[in-house]
Amino acid sequence: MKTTYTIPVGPIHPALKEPIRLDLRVDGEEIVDVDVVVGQVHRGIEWLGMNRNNPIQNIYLAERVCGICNICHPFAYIMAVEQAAGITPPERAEYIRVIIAEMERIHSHLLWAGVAAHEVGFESVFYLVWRVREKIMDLIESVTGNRVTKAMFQIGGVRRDITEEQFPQIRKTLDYYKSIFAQLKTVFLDDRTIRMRAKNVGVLKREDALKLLAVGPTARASGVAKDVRQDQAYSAYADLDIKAITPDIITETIVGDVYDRIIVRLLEVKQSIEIIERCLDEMPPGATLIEPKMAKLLNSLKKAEGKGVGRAEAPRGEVIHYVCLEAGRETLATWKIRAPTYVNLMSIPTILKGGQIADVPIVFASIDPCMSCTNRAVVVDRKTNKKSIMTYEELHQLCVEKTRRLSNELAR
Amino acid sequence: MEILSPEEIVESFKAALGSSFIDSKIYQREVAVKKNLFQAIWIYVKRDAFRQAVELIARLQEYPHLSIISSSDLGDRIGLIYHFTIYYGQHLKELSLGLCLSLPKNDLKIPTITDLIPGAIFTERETQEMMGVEVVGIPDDRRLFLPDDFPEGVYPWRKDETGPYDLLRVLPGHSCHSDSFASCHSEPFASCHSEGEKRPKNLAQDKLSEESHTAQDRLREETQDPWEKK
Repeated sequence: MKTTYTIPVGPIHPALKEPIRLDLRVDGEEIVDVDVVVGQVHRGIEWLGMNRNNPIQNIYLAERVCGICNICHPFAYIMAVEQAAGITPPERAEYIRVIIAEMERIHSHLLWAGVAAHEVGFESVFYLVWRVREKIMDLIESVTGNRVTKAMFQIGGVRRDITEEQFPQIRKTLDYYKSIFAQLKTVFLDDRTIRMRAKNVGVLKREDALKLLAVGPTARASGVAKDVRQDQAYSAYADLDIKAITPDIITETIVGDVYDRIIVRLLEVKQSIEIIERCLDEMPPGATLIEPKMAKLLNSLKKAEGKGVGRAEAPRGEVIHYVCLEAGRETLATWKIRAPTYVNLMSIPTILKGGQIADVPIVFASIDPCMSCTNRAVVVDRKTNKKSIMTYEELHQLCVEKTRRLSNELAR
Repeated sequence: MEILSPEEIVESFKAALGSSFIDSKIYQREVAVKKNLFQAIWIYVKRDAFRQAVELIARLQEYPHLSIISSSDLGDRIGLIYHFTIYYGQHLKELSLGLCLSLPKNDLKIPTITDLIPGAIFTERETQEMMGVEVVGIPDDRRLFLPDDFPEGVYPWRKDETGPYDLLRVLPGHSCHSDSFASCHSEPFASCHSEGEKRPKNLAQDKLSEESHTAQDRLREETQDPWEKK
């Protein structure tokens, strides 16, 4: 009789940027079933917004929902509050918001590309991509004053302008990325090792993506042309005629595998460069903030009554913030945040089933989960109920060995 | 697929739901330089027509996208909003559609929609544990975010006596009763600690509330010590 094992991966694992546990039921090397266990880092952020913070303090709290997506969360949040309170931000601010959001997308996708290369044991590419990523981080720092939490957003505009003097520097960095784009494309799409590990692995079919409510590059790689920037008129994106990127631009047929997710993210880097350039060209003049006096703004927010929903396209997919304001109340009456990984996680059982344990790191990383890192997995023998610890290094080693093995087989 | 305008969508709901249709709001705003329209619809329905309303949405859009269920404590009722998006995948055609319901607190039940939208499972599980709304027929009723040892009968998003006030970690120099928290919460705070207040009959929680003061005092002492030593 065959023995099935349960392998819990996580809650701590480097392929995951935040803690999460995957309970894998395996039969030999094959994954039979997967259960996703979340909640290890639930920080009660919505509770704080509804009980402790005023709406302006919440911007900075929203920024700390996630270190990588620290633009899209305040972006969605302020749009929700502006809608609830009936505030219209100045046009120039809308363009600045988009520029910052697209810079975030470039750095996030490059970060992901590095992690993905690391997961399959392609360390040289990991170093290369993360070195290249530093350029955009430097640009973000010089434009916003900070590498990570940028504090650019304010209800009714942005806190800092992007001036003409900064344009040449931004263009220079974008030109740099354009100059190396062909090289990146060759490395990720034509390399034999990456093709081997990514093609036909972790497949999410279009219908499953729709049923399981997948968003962002995960959905687009499965052929669902869903992108908030394209679909809904928000911020300066409404002016820019964005088109959602699906992998058939390069491959003609959509498989919905890890390779397709690489294509989507890679092409989105290029798309982001184009969006920033257009924003620089078309940026309207004028003020960047509608009410610079915080006390006055807070006072009007306290009197405001209404509800709003803000949706923004984060690097990982749609972020939605729902805000309800009550007159006379200092905090928000209701605040609900939904990050893209929340819905993308529901696809994990489907894309892991039938795969191999050695594919778990790359397949799981392929949805770019916004959760933290695999330090260990516990292997439970269901027969003897004996537990043995499998460290992240061992699991990672399995994944790296598979790459080597396949390479050697090909070389023979 | 034919794309209806927000007004036509509202009309179709009115016609199909009859007296179970309560109200609707259409929100429109011009965005950025080209003044394209951002549009959102809010539709208020009675609970008995909830499933029918979701089926209607599924007719407007094959595989409607359910972003999230948000819930608010409205005093003696709980408000639920199912945030859908329809007409996605087309340039500037997407609509945010919020399906709003309110349930009385003595009968917090809502049917599941996981048979229509399998991906609704996470948010239904979250609504169940955070707001205490029972999702009838949910295929997986385990908790999602809350740990297994979290007391039963405590719902973190509630603003009444079932809120998580006993579980708060109060920082040194603050108290649960102080104004450092939102003023509108002074009442629930006071009531949750007043004597003779009726608490949900739950052993784990009764025990917790009895111990909460001493536990919090102890915590305060512990956290204060290093400061005093300095």
